[in-house]
Amino acid sequence: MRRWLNRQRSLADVALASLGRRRTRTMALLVVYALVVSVVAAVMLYAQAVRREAGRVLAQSPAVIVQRLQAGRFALVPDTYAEALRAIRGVQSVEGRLWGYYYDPVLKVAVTVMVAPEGSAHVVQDGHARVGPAVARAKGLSAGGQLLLITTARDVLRLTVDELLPDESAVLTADLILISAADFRALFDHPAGFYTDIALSVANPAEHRRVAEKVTTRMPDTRAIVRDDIARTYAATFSWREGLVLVAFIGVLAAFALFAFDRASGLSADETREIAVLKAVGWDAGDVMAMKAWEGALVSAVAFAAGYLAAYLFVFYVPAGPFDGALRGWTVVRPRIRLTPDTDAFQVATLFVLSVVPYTAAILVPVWRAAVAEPDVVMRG
Amino acid sequence: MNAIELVGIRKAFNRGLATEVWALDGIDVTIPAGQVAVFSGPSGSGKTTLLSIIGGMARPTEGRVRLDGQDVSSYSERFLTVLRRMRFGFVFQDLHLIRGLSALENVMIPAYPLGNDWHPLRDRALSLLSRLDVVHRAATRVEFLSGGEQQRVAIARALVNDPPVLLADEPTANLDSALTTQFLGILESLSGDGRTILMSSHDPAVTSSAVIQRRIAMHDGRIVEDR
Amino acid sequence: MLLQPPVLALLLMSALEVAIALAVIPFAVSIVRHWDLGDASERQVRLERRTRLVSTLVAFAMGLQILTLPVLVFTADRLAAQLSGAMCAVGTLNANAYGFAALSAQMVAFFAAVAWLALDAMDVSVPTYPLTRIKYVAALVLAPLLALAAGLPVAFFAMLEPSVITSCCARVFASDAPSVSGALAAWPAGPAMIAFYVSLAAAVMFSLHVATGRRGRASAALAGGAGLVAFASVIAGVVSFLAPAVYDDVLHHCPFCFLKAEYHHQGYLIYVPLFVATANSTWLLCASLAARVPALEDVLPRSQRRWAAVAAAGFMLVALISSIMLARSHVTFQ
Ligand SMILES: Nc1ncnc2c1ncn2[C@@H]1O[C@H](COP(=O)(O)OP(=O)(O)OP(=O)(O)O)[C@@H](O)[C@H]1O
Ligand SMILES: [Mg+2]
Repeated sequence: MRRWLNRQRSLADVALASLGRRRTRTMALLVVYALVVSVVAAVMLYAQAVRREAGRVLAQSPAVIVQRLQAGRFALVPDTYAEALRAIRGVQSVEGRLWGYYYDPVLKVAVTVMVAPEGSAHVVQDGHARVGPAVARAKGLSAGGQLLLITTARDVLRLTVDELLPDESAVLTADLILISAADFRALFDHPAGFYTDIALSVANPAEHRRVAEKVTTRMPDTRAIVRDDIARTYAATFSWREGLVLVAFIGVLAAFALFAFDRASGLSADETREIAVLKAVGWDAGDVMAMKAWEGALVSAVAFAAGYLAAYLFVFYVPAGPFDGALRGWTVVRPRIRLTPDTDAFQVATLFVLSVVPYTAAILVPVWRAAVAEPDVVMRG
Repeated sequence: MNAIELVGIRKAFNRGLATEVWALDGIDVTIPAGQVAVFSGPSGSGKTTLLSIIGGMARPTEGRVRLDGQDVSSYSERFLTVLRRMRFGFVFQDLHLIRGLSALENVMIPAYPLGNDWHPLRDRALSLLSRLDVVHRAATRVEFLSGGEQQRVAIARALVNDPPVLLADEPTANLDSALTTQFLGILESLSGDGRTILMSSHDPAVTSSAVIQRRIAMHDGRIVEDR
Repeated sequence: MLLQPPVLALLLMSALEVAIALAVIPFAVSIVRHWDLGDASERQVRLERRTRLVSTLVAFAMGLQILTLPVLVFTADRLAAQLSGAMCAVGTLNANAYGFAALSAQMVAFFAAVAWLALDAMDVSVPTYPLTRIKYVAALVLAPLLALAAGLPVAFFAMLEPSVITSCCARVFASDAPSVSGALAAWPAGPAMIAFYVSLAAAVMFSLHVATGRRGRASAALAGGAGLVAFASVIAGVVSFLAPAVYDDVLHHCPFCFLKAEYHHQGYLIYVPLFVATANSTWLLCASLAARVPALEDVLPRSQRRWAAVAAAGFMLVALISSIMLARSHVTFQ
């Protein structure tokens, strides 16, 4: 054991010295390597954070949402349905919701207009509104400002902005305008006694699906959406997008592996001579390979740490990175969110497999070839 | 008995090609332990090739090499290496010190794969350097040493694993006469330890030196004189 | 299902393993046919050099398998969120026939690679290379196994249908499930615990016996065999009583959940020493087979002692840690 440790220590020493002697070469390799790691890491960190964010949003959304379909299209839900839903066993509370999309002719984009549920902290008085950060930014609004909306009847609805919605749950609130129920009905010419849809809360998570089934059997003209299904779709979509972006980087990874292979096989004359000298003075091919393995490990460790750190800072501390669009979709009123730093060991392991493993595989054969070279060239000038 | 026996050694390069050469063409020689011998002969007579074969750095095309009566000709590379690092110390004609490393590190490097403790190893390397009078340069990178100093570092490196046999190819080719004399002095002292020393040289200062106990003259891959 | 980073990582490792298997086969064939140490020809020298590459490749493949096992389990765990009915890795792995097959094949391939490396180490420890032919015949068996172990995860992910409703650990390892895993879970904790501790004790004792003196083939074989038995009974014990004890829930038999952060990664405390010890047992078993070869008589006993010592220590650690887990648990088994 002690011998083994001594040997490893000495080999690592030689490896370090050898890297130090070829400083430019090493630096070039390190930079490229770290860059590759950081690109892959950024995609993964970003996707994971967005996934987590979406999960948080979903956690706040209702367990089951009931929509009404008429001739295969969405229709408003009469408030009588709410009573019928309340009668279903397992349903804890029923809440009729009012919401819709408002096309803003100036921004040329649709924003979400919603009435905050009764009893929530965000209930707004008639003539007032609260807006999400992205909307506020796009329209240049601040608390106390005037928000003008055009109703379906072509009237102007003048609202005073109470306050801006907080930034932290930005995915949810970015493009949101909260108004009162009366203003909502005026804006969209929404008939009284009808809701957009109905949200159910169900105490026992295991019963979500059963409740949804009961709803559709009792009211055949409705559709019940279970939160878990949405969560599953979300998770799948985000992971799929993440995978897609990574596949786009497979070319980069392959190029990197090729680069590493080339670096490892194109030894300089100096290096070839050094290996021959080492073998001539009594190093075995196995010793040379172990020393080269140390070189690879040292380079990998530094590049991996640097690349990961760079990606971490980039994703969590530089707003709106370039992956934004690809991973979350495009919109003008894009939520500017500061993602919550979030990593785990499994993610690091995956990243390791996607970067260090290809590097190692790429240098394996060149290292072997260098290590078994004839030592007797040192006897000839 | 620490003897080296060569039986019917032949060595071809580029075998089967038009450029085929037989660098060695039937060498039979036995070198008893502790002897100081020199192979001499014109350029291309096969001295370097012979030393590589003795030291296990190249394999003979035909013939057998025996060390202490043990036939090592068909040893695998792995075990030839083990043998080499236990039995032989090499001083190459071009020295081949590793640039960028200090004299001390160069001396220690052959011992690294053995995994010995570092401090005793460093002490041994330092004591070798001081015996060879270059200990004051131990921390200097080898490319900043003079030719004579470099050679002494190379000798120290050859001795760090305490091999019974020292092989030196044209050790004085790059030395002036003062340094050659100094080198012969070192040889004398090493021979005094009971080490076998095999050299190739066509430097008369070496071949006529009193340190040399045996002179083997070669020509075209054969031994032409042995006394 | 294929387009997810951890799955891509697994696919990459699979591809490399297949590449290694393919590279090893032709070379093994040429070694079996042409290897002749007495021959100093260029070909023999070339062959010898290539053996260094093969050893490195197999070692690399073994490393990939070590990495594949946890990545596979955790990928399955993560994918559970996207499959109906799956709550953790077990549910995902159970979604089609290839999941658990892939996991077991990876494990078998891992130990096979470990055994091969043992052969390799013994072979090159003496100048006559007495095992080279056997070793490369073995490589011809190992390579397809590697390829199979690499292919199964690919098949698993390719066939993974998000719409298929799978059953999760609560059901797979439920005591009334008609399957091996169900049977393991149904195994009453009492006998399972007895088998667990008895097999561990046997493995430790036999290994210690080998570790403390110059012993013959039979002792090494016994120690190695006892180690493999202990491996099986520890896995069974984890499902039967250790996992429920860690979760403090007699109905939760999942052997993976306790690898997760929620349970402070306690699973590694069992699995890492278990795998290390079993790898050493595998070596002992190989050594007992190789001990016939006279050339190895001098070198084997030393390595054998070391392997036995590591195996004994590993199994002792498993016994100790699982005892602590049991002692800290609030679950009572009938
Ligand atoms: N690798 C090689 N390939 C082809 N021919 C070689 C090789 N090495 C040596 N030779 C040939 O073998 C012969 C013997 O060479 P060797 O280097 O042993 O001679 P030497 O006595 O050491 O000569 P010198 O005094 O010039 O060093 C020479 O003809 C040389 O050209
Ligand atoms: Mg010469």
